[in-house]
Amino acid sequence: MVRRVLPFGLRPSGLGLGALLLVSCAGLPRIDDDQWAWARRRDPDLTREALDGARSLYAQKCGGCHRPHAPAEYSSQAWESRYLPEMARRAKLSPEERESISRFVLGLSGKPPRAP
Amino acid sequence: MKPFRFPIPLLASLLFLWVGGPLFAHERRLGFVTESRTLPKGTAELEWHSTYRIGRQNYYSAFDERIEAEFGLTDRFLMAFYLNGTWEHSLSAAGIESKSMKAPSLSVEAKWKLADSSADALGLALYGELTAKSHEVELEGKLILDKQAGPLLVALNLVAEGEFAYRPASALWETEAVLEGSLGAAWVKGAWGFGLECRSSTVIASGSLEKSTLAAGPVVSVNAPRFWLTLTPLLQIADLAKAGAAPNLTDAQRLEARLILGIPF
Repeated sequence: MVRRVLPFGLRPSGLGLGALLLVSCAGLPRIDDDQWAWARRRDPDLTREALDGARSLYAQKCGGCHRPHAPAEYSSQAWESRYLPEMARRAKLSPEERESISRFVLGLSGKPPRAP
Repeated sequence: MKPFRFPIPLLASLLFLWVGGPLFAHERRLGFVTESRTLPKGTAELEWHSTYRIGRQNYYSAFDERIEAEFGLTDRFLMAFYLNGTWEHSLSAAGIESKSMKAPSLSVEAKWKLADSSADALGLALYGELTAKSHEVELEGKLILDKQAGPLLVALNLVAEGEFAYRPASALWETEAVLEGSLGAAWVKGAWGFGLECRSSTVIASGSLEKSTLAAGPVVSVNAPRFWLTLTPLLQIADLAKAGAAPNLTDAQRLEARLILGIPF
């Protein structure tokens, strides 16, 4: 049987598994029922579509300059008082864009990781 | 009198404290590998790229300097303009020294992001660059794939470049094709990033293989409120044109180190 081995002893199956693992680790949380329910604790009128759109906008605007941090990495107080005002100024966000991104990061800030 | 000693530990500590806080500043985590991200609409950045090449069979050192102004035209499309310069210093096998400064050239770059590395399963961008020199034109196309998964960034570039040079003495056009594949990974911790990059580069001149090399090295990056820095030394590890052979030091260098400084404005 012929076994394909790549340079440095790497095997195609190992590389494929690594790539799949990497792709499955989303940088930002995907909006599912659990995420949406958590965000509505703070913002009951928030639709799932609006939350999804806000996530895309956050990735575009904030991820254009640096790694977009997951909202849960910081408290809502830190987002509100420090990061959102400064980043809105630097990324030249319109008031509507800032409002949308605020709903995403504040809605999901403080969310505990999902139980395995 | 005591000789003056540069307070490196003190300066290093101050630098660490200075950059230790902000996590939301601009950043670039890889030096030779390009990421798919594009600046948000209405923002701009100034970058200085300095690449030092050294280590051939006979003495050789060169600096490639680039000043870049980058503008986010939409959230997914950017354009950049470069001023390029190259200085070379070499010694031939016969011992003849040569020092040269090539005529400055201008480049224009366009990058279009099709998918986002954080929000989508895989980041994807198309990159094009046109360089105009005296009697020479270069066209470069790049496919960028990357993934930002939490603190881990992995990026792959596939590059095809064509160079068309007019030689007035012979009234002939010379052509050269460069094919590159580069892969990089970086782990980001706070303001700092550490990783590895590798690049294979193949040059085909006038239809025949000129050189093909593989290089790899570490990358260190840091971001601060008003700037970011990335440093990558790439060491040539193999001559791909001659499988199993020692590095090609006849027409490729042993070490290529790149420092990039970025300043948002």
